[in-house]
Amino acid sequence: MARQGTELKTEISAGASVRGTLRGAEDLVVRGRVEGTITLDGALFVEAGGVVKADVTADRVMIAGALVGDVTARTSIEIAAQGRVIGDLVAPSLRTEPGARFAGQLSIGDEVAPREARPEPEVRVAPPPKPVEIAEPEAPTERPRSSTPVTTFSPTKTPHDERKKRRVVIKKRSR
Amino acid sequence: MEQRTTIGPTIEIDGDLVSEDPVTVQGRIRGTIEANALVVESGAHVDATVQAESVEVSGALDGKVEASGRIEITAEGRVTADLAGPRIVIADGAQFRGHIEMDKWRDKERS
Repeated sequence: MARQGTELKTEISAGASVRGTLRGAEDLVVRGRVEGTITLDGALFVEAGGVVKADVTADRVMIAGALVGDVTARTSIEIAAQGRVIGDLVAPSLRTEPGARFAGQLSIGDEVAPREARPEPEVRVAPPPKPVEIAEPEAPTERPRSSTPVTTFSPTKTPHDERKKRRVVIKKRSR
Repeated sequence: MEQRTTIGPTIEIDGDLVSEDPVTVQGRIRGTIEANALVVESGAHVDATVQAESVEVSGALDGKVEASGRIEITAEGRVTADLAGPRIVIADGAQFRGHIEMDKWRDKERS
């Protein structure tokens, strides 16, 4: 990745790891590991092999390694082909190379509100669950009389069990 | 390519730094440092418990230093710390306040 900007360079080498808070006004290159929080007036480069488990605020963030955490960039976020990111990203612009992997929420564009001011994204609001119509249980009126215990997979499910199961499913969806 | 961790002059770390590679500090670290070779450059400020093979201080260091090799405070160094290690150099002009232990280290089991 091309580096530009300040001359100063801080590097966490492949054999090094930092745990805690890291602040600064220069570029940071991570080939090793950083856990905690990173706040930079400069660019963050997570190189291939580098692992960052931190909430990050920086001018630019370039990820060719792995990053787990929320990222706020003042100018841009770039995820390289081998980069892997899990977390919420906020930046005026985002670039991902084919092959990059990302899981999380994106807020991209010039009018991105600061993180605190953002309303809960609508994506998260699931539609109200439809009333469940429970079909008349086909449960046989007579339970097997054998002395063997009824397994969970037995077709003799009681209506109560059925309702319970459905309720769980709905709960998951409404998250 | 030589691997080296460099903490630049504007960087402040609160926490722990562990490195198998040599570490150069130009900024500020509060917490603990474990490294093979640690260099605290002029202008840097380390307020930490340090464990390393060798330590060279030209900046400010407060805390505690344990080295399996050499600890050197250069003429620019300002150190307020307890030092433990088999070889200790304090240059003419250096500032130092603290305790020095040179034989205890040899008996102690390394953790």
